[in-house]
Amino acid sequence: MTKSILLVEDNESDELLTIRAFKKSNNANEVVVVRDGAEALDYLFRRGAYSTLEAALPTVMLLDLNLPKVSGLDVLRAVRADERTKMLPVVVLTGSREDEDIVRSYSLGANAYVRKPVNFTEFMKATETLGLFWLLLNETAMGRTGSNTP
Amino acid sequence: MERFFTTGGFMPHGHCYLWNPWLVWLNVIADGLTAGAYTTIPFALFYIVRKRGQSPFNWVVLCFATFIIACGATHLLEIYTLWVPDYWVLGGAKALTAAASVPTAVLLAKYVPAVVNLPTADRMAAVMEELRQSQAVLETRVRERTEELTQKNEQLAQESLERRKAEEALRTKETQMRRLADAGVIGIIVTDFAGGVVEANDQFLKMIGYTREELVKGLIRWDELTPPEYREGNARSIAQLRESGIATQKEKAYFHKSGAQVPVLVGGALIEEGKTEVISFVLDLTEQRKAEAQIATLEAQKAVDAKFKAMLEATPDAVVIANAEGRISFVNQQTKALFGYTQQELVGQPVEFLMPERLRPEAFERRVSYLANPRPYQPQREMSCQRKDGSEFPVEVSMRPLVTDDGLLVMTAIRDVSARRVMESALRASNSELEAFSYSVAHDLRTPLRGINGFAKVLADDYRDVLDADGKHSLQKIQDSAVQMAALIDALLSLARVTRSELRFERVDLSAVAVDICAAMKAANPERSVEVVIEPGLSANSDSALVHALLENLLENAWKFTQRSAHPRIELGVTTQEGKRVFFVRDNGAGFDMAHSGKLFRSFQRLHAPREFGGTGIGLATCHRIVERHGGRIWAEAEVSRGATFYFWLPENRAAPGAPS
Repeated sequence: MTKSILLVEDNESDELLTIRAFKKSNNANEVVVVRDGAEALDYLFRRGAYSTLEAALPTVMLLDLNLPKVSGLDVLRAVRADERTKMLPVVVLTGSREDEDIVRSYSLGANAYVRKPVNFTEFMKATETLGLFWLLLNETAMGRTGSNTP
Repeated sequence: MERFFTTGGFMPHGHCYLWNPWLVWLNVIADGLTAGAYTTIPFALFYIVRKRGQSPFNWVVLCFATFIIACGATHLLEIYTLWVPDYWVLGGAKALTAAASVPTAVLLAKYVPAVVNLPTADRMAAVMEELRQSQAVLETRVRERTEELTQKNEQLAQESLERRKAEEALRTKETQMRRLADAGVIGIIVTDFAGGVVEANDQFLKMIGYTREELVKGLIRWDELTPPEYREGNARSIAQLRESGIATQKEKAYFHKSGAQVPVLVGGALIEEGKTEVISFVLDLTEQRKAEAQIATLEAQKAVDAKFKAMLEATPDAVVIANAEGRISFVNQQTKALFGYTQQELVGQPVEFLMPERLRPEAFERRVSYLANPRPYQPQREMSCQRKDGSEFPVEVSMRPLVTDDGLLVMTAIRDVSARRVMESALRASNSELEAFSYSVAHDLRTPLRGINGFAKVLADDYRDVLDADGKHSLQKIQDSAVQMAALIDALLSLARVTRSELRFERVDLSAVAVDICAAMKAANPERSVEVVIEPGLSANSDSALVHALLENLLENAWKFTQRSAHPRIELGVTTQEGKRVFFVRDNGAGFDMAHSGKLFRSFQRLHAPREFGGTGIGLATCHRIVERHGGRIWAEAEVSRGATFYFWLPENRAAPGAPS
């Protein structure tokens, strides 16, 4: 099964740098980029432009919070509310370090919260670590069956 | 008989005198005078006897008178016989004279001793004189005595009148006293010095709650009725009675039979001098005391009222006092100014009158339930009031029940918060703008910095081969600048957070926090070897997040400024200054010149060049803000090249969180 990363990022620079960082860290997995929250949901729920998409759901979603149209937190809420995506690993990757953002993200079901460092060297380290963890180490519940009733 | 009245032949007696005329006439005149005298004397004697009335001498005098008359008749017959010799008649007359003279002589002899004792005329005169004088004296005396008696009499009459008057006055007085005693206005008692009550009127008995039977049985004793604190006064009164007979009135108290004390005014006097019975009046002062207390209360009330009113007028709030029926009884000036009503328009209205009509039913219910459970109360919700012109405005109210003599009153302070609401909403707007700004700073300003840094790095990496050393250096500077700016932004955000966030006070283990921070610093700079001394068990009543930021800033500063020290040492401890527990963070680093210490805690003020020691210039400003928000104080002592000590004191009793400024 092909593992992919869904990067939700409206800033072009961040997008380019993130993709570069993944490439530099020899991460061969596909990085799908959507540029606002609405598009992210369309992609995940196969709606609109993505209604005919056949690719599997991403292994992990890297979600920015400050997004046009639908905010990152709203995307997170919708993802957790939907049966198909409620177990999708979501890593909030954002510039904010506000306590409120961190707390709200986790309370809405984020699996991790990473602040993008300004220092690109550090950013690349962070990206590499993320890729290693979520794509290689972490076992996801997505696509598995089992009793998920608490 | 015939022979008797005949001359018989005798010769007249003149013959014997020879008819010598001289001799004859001598006899005639002598006998005539003697006979005349003898005839008058008996008349005098008769007169005397008659005048003198009963006398033992009357018979003598009468005999004597007869005898003298007889002598007189003899002398007349002597004259007769000179010419007519009727010697028988003469002899008969002489015999008669003799007959009268003998009993006279006998009687006289019988009365001689008495007559001898009869006073002589001189003596008589003397006696008479004496008598007269005596009589005069007597008369004078009698006159004097009479006068005296008259005076006495008048005096007596006068005295009697006075006495009658006095008696009348006494009777009046007695009546008055009796009426007084019976009127039940004052208690009257007769007592002795020993403590006994001999007599008492009903009023006194009523005053102390005893019966007459108990009085008669001798169960009432003034010494026992007197509370101990007045016994000394009693002793003084008795001394006064002994000395002057009166006891001036004094206030004291008697025990009522119930045990309560009855305040009284007592004054008395000895009934009789030298005795020990005293009559006293006893005036019940209970009512007077009550009245006095009432007056005092009223006066105090008046003073309180005046103060209270002044206070009500001085307060900036509108104050409305309502009675237990919820009707307005008082409004202060501010109420009139705020609502636009006159006092007359408000007094007597229900308090809901001040609210918009649509809210009145609900307000009425609230008022009823409040009056059922009156207490100091400050409703948290916002309320609305309505002015006379119909305009509404938001208010904050605070209610307090007052229990007064006039019953329950409820004082409500009404504060017009429209201005505050406007300001609050402006503040909220400004705060939310600031929040948005902060968020934007946090999120958006960093994004371009990441681009700058990232692409400089991309350039430096991808074009490593074509760039010379200067180019590479410049790209490195671009990257460093971006990182520096990101650090500045973070510091500013941190300062803003410190200012904004709400404090949650709790006991924070400063030692543990410091240990964590130092461990993190060591992990981040494993190459450095710093001696860290943290006094265990330090704690403070503080907001844990803020106090963490405080210690982080201070310890990181110490860490930073000791990087050139030979044997870097950082210390967290506590000391006592001016009786307060003061924490300190001490280092043996670069220190600073105390001349610049005034700039130390201001934003963007740095005492060192960035080349020497990096930093944002915001750390200590943040520390200052944190301590300030805790109500504490922070200050520093330092010396260039010999290190610095930052002291901070946090108040221990701050429980209520300070509102965000």
